[in-house]
Amino acid sequence: MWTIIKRTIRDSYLTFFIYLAVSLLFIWIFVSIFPSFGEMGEKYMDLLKSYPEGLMKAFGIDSSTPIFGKVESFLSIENFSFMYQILVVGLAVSLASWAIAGQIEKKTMSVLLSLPLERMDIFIAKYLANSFLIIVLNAITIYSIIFFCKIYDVKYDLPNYDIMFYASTLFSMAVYSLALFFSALFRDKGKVIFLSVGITLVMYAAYIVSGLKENLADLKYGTFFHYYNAAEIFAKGNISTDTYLVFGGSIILFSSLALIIFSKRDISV
Amino acid sequence: MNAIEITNLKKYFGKVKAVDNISLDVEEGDIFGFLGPNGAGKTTTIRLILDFIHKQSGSIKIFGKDSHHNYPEIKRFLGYIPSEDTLYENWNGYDHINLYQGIYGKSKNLHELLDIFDYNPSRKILELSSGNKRKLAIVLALMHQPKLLISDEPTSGLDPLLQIRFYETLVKMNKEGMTIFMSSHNLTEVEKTCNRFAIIKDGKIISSEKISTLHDKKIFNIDVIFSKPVDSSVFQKAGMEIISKDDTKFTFQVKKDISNALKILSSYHLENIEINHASLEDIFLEYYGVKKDHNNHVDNNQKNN
Repeated sequence: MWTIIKRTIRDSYLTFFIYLAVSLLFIWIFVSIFPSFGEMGEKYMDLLKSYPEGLMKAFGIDSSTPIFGKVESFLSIENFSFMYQILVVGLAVSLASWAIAGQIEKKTMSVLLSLPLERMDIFIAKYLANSFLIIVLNAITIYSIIFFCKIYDVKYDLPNYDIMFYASTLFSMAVYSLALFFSALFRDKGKVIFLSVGITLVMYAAYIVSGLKENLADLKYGTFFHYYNAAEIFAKGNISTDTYLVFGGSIILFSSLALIIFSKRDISV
Repeated sequence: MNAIEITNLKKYFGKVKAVDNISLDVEEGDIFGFLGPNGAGKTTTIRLILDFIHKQSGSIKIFGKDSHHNYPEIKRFLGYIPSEDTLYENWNGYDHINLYQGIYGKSKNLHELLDIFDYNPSRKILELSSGNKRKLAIVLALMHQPKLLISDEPTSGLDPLLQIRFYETLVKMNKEGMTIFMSSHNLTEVEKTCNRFAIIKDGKIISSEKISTLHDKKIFNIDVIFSKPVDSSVFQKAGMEIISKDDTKFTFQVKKDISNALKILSSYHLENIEINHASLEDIFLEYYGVKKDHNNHVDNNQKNN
């Protein structure tokens, strides 16, 4: 199994480093410009107050909390309300779609299936390898903020970083597990990407709409984005039990389904 | 003990009966040819043996062990050459070899195989010709010295010289104890290498015999251009069936023994002659009387069984 884990990590190096580089680039840019925003913070807050309350909440903006008062609040809006989600969804879906469906499509799954390994071992090896990459991306991205803050002499709130790392990792793993479920179901990588990204985007749209329309407010409970509220988690250091339950539950549910399907399905390669 | 024991195996894809209640025994030490035209069910049977796909009913035993319930254990002594390119295109040969050695342990015959097939594993798969990809697939299947080799159209993409080396290697490894199950739609290939064979068509085994019986089931197509018009009755009397005739251009079909036909033709002045083996399809129709009905079922009026 260790051979497959090492090989899977090696195969995803390039994809991983591209996502990591982009993620770090955004962090670097946002932290570097934060001090200049801080000086004009109140003007921006006045401007933002003219937007609908629901829309502001959807983007993690709490009018009672000064966005430009601390770097965590600033990043939770600039980077962790949409940009970072796109990045981690991109990496998670890319890894998951190649893990099973991509390999069936390219017929390379034949190499793995002809080896003396249980299908469960192949699945777990790929799961562990890709989870490792997702966790490392989250860890480096989140904790690199501290590094950049030190460079640009920006104050940071250390206890929030661990909580943000847990929440980001859980969010990424939930998306990865969902995509892996589709990957186990189909033999076409394109379908997996389309469905996984499509569902995530629909969730995001539903989350925004739920903030704008009061009668659709409950829609937010059906989206991952409600449970990954960076403004609460990163800026205030509050993480609800629901975040652990929903993401944890999704990871267990979709990963288990993916494993069952992969173990039982016909793989014509 | 049988190396492979298939009993009443069925695999349907919706209404298509890909494998329809087949039974087959491959004895330990056999080089067993699994013949059939494209779409007959050869690859599906192999995928069932390898547990890539799951059967509807029936059983498959490999050296007495159920292939589904014991597949990791079985695959430890099984080598597989797939019919098409299934290699990782961004890897090189060493990456593949290292993956296999990581699972099976260090290969004892790797360098010998690389020499035999004159294969350089340092190049990326993406840059390789189909023949070189085939060489790697063969090296990977043989490098852990399997007790049973399952190969699906093993020589497709290999040049004639490498085909000869491949079969020489198989025969050598067979003498050392390796059982071989190879699918093919090439009658000559099977005839030269195997000691037993089975023919599958439309998901059913229509014949399973010793290779010696295959010698009697040959059909040759002979295209001849005579230098001047000839009397065709001579050929009919000699058992040469005339398939087509156009002035001095004839196509004959000859069964079993070609020597008499060649003797007759040699007495004429010929402008051109071309001899080909008839397709498996023709042989099935001629010797096994297999016809397809409209419902995809097989009407099996075997003459010889």
